[in-house]
Amino acid sequence: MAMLELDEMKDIIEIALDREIGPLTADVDLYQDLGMDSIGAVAMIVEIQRRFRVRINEQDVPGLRSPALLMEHLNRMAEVRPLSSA
Amino acid sequence: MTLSDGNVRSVDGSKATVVLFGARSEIGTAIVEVLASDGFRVVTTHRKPIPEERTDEQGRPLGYAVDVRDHRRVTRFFEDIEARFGPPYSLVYVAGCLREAPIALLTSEAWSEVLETNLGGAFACLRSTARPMMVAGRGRIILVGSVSASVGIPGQAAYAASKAGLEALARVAAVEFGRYGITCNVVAPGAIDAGMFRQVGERAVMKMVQRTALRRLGTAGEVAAAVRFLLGPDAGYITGQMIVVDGGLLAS
Repeated sequence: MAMLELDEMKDIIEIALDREIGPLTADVDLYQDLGMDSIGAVAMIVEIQRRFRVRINEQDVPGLRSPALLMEHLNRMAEVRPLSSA
Repeated sequence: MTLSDGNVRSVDGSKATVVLFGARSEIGTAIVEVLASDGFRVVTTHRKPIPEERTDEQGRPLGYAVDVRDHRRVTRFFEDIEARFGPPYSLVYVAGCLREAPIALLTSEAWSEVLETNLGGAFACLRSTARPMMVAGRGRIILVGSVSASVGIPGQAAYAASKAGLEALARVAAVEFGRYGITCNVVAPGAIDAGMFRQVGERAVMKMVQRTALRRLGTAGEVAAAVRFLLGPDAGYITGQMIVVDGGLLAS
């Protein structure tokens, strides 16, 4: 994963968690390791939709447990429709 | 949101959209009139299709058939509205029904109908409108409750339970949505000289009037005024609250 993408992902996760976190790795478990809950998960997909104009379906959220899985999901969505910044 | 010459506009200059459920009631009608005169684009729903003549400035229809007990229909409706008009600025939920009966005679069917319409429908609307409002970073949600939730009125078990549930739902929504700039409040009418209240008997009406500090029934317009205030710029820091429009009934 490109460093820039991970930096942006870190920003999004911090907004979702409403706090700063340390260095982010691609495979960290957002729930077990960073304490994200369902409220934070909603904030995360809202922030993603704001920035990239892509809508992650609610039923896909439980499977997106790490930055790597999230980026993979967004890249798959981009193949269907290109990502664009807000 | 800007206010200019009485016309409410979104930041992109388009009219702000209010989605209102329960427009056929007198209170709903009064709210539609006052918000439309303030410059909002008011989209209304009815349980069954009716001839709807209201259109917006581009000729798009503003009335839709939506049974709030059908949650999938509610979801599709909000997707259509967002595609057509953009994310709603406000949800006003007035839809409700009253199936009066003492608890010992209240049927399960009547109980379910009241809870599904008054409370379940409100939940379905909240769920569907939450994400567009969150992404837009603003929103005003008003759920119309009732003083029945706070006083025990014989024969109104289902109605009272549904309205009490609405108050709790509004409080949770206020806390969950607040970080996105969305407010959620309840307007709770008391004895109002309007549709549903006229279903109760004359003696019950007189008893309510006597218990009311102002010794009169309220009007649908007075309830609409409270909704109008909560949609306006001066109410931006009010959330998780209940505005009671009851002439002092609860205070007595």
